[in-house]
Amino acid sequence: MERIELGYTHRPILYEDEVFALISNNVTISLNSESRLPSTVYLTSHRLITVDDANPDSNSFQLRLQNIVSQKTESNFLRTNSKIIIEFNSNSNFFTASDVDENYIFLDSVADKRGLSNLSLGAGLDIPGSTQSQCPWICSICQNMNYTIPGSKCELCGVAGKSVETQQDQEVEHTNTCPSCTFINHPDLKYCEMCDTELYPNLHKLKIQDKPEDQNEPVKSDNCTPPRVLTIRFEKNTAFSFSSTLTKQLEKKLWEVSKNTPLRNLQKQDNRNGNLGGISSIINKSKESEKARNMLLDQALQDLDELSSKAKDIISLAKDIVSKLNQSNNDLSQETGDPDLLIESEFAKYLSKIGIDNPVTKEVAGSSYLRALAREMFEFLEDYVFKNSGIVLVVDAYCLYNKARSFSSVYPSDFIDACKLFGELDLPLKLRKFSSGLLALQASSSANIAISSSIQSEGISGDVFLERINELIDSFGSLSTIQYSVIDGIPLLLANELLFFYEEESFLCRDETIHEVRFYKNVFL
Amino acid sequence: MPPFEFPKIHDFPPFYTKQPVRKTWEVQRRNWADLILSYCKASKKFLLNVSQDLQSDLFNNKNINRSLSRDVLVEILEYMNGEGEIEWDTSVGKQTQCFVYWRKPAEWASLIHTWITSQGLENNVITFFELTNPDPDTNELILDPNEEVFAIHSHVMNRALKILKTQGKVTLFTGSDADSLGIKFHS
Repeated sequence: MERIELGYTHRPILYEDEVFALISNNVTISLNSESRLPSTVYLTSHRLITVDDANPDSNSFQLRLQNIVSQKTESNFLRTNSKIIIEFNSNSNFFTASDVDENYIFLDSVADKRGLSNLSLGAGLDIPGSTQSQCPWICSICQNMNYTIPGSKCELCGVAGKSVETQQDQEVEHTNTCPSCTFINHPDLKYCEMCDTELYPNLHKLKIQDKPEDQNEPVKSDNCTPPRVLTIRFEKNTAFSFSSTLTKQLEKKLWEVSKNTPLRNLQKQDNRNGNLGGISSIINKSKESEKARNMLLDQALQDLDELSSKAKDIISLAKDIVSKLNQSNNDLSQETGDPDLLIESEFAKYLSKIGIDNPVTKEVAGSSYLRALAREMFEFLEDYVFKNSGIVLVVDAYCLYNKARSFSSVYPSDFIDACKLFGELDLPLKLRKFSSGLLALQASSSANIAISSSIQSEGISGDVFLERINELIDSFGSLSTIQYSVIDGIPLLLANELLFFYEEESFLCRDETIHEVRFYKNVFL
Repeated sequence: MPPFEFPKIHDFPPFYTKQPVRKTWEVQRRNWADLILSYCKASKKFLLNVSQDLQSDLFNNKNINRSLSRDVLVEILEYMNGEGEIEWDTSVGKQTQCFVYWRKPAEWASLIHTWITSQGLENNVITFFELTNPDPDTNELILDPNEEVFAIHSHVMNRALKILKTQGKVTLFTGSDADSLGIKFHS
């Protein structure tokens, strides 16, 4: 288990390529059957991270998945919680080349175990430059968290980080106060700030004394230390899902793959070449990052383009199917009452709703965007509105229209604004606002071009809906909202609004009973 | 007496729902007022009790299974009160019973007066009792039974007499009780 740093929200900071696989809170962890600490456990593709609920800053640990030796799940029984017992090799990673920089972090926090740290650092140095894994280190100047190789320059300020060696020295020095006045000096100082006593001799002595012991200890630990045990107790029976996810992550071995990504190689090269310090390197650095960002953005947009080209394929496919279906429908039109036919025509209707070939966008249309949009909307919605009794909810129309556009949706406000332009553009649709604020799109018979024949025949008084309602009342005697909605296929909400509207206009009157409200022709007036 | 023939609107279900639209409601209210007046006139009904009459055919249409609610009836009656077509009977409590003036008291007054003069009874003193009850000898009403004045409610009669008095067409002589009120009609 290694101590780690957390982000400011107390979430662990992930490496590149690392992803969260599972997050469990309300668990307690105990290490080597020590006391249980209530914690949150993050299982990522690379690590198992435990964050203590009470002291997240000081008591957060990580366990690399490759260090896990075995795991065992126990279900809950009576009052005991379900738990996972994970055995892991705590020291093995100190001696693998790839993990040197991780040790580095580890040392950072447990510097008082000087012996151990010395040695592991030594191990790190034995493999110069070949270390590939990216473990965060903190720049001593600007406190920036870097993900490059320790000892290279800080990404932010460009000042070379302390080599592993010097860093280690620093750690050692930290523990050394001034021998005469006990003042804790800055690591770089050779003489005590307070009393001018020489600081170094002590340190050297200390190091020399320590070293022999160190060399023995790790060897011992590497071979002989028994695997340590981490027990995670879960509420109820959630341990199983956790364990299965853990097993999956262990099988994937993402941590091995991640070390060979091109981006990392790039960075590594940079670190080697750019040994120049100062402003030029900062500029270079920012240029590099900009280039990388642009590349990334380009790639992302290319993906989008690909997506839209796919969408176009689907649209053309849909058109093909529609035309084919139409052909077959014509053939079959003699047979009536065929359920398959009905389904097919439904399907055709659905397909015909897909696809506007070349949607108007703000970029293309510029200042005439709304007008162009209104025209396109009209072309698309015309059929839909007339097929649906001449009135549709704006919400429905909006959804349908956006679905047809597939990828480049319009804003609701743009949609409404464009609807308002119908009248101005002489298009026979109009936006109708009911007293409740409900918006509907209605075929307007007042427009010059009478598109719908039904409107032409009925449109003498100008209000098709009133005529239709009167017609229905004549045949049924009275009309309820639900009836109206069902018979004419008008959305219930809209049917309701329409009936209320005509009641308000004194064309209708109501009969209210416990069951429902029925509308009659207004004979009072 | 032939049963009262309800108008067509009496079988119109929305007639029993208070219309939310003001314009429609005003017409509906008027329709109800007219119906109540003509119904009472046909059945010679002077008193309308809200609770009792709600069960009657007038307000409870069993054919279409609709009935007027008490609140709506009271609202209609309040409106009629404002129009002078009914008067709440204040002796029995608030909004429980009312006199229906299917003829306004003034109309009653002139009706009585013309009838008295046509009978040549002016300048005679008649008691209130004689006016509203049959003659014990002939068993005939002073007010002709064939006339609508027949069995006029005493409250309504009082109102009519008061109107005649203000017009100076009668002189009232107060008796020991309401029935012995003396009335002298002037021409």
